[in-house]
Amino acid sequence: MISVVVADDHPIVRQGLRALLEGEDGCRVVGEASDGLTALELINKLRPDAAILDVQLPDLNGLEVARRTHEEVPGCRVVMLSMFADEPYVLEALRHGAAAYVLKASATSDLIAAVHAAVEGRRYLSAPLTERAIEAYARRAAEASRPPDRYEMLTTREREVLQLAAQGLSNAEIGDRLVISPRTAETHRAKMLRKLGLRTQTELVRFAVGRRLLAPVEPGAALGPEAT
Amino acid sequence: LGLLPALLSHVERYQVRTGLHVELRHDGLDRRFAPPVEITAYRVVQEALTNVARHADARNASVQLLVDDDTLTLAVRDDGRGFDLPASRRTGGLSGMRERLELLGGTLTVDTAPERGTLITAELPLHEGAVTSFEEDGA
Repeated sequence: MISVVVADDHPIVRQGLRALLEGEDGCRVVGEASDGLTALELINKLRPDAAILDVQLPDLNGLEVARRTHEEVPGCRVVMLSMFADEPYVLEALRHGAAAYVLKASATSDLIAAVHAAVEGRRYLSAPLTERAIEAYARRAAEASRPPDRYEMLTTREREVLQLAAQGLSNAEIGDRLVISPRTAETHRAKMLRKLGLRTQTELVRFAVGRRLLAPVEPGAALGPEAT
Repeated sequence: LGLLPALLSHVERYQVRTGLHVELRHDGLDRRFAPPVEITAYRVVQEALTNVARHADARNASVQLLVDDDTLTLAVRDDGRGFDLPASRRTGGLSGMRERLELLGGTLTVDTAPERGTLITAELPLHEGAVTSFEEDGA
């Protein structure tokens, strides 16, 4: 017999879940909660085999209930019930210790399958969600935290201004060279510095030398390990 | 959930749909911004990538975002065929993007030339964040 706690803030949904699960051989709803705190209390007290949690519960949201259930009652497997089919939500739920993620738009058989899978220690995701999509999303999130290549964010004009500014030219001189007004040169310089995260002329020269845009002026000058 | 998860999802789906390789990188985006900033930044990236898929004939694209004290800067670059900017006056999608940005005090720059790819950069001021930190300093 699989014992289940259900938590959703809508009574009709809870009743529907109860009817669905108890119509199934081998399932029994041992507790119902309309908010997250009550759900967590019931799970701790009743130690059910599974908990079906709405993602958006009042008082303590479903993700947090999932995380604490995972920690406090590891024998209780969490099935998240959600309206959102977006990977970030699914990934968050899995990271919070949920074993299954079921969309509210799915067929009822989906929920039953999810409860069985979860209790047997398997992961379950409603179609059209797939493990592969979730993994791809997680991988991309990890890759995205590598810092941007700031030089790649510069426009052609900003690169021209970078070169001249690093050589020590004033905005007026840069304007003359590029046939733009000193004011425009100044705007390009400011945007260029912002994108590169640089503030001073010294930092600008160091950056330009590091990128081999500028040769080191004095052979002996300390310009970092890259300079020769 | 915020701008970063929304962009991660969008880029992932876009890559599957178009077959283009897209690299997304950021510095400082794992926080929330004022809703208009988040929505505008998302729309600009979305529109820029849509243009890449439709017109650029590109194989690779990159989306990079930076956040400093008062500005969110984003850049979408592709290695496609670019276009002759003065000759293409009626760039509906781009002017829509520019209007959205200017409403928030931001700017949009298009850097392109035939056979040289396209770089779209946008800067969005983070007004609300600046005001909050000012109030905290004064307290």
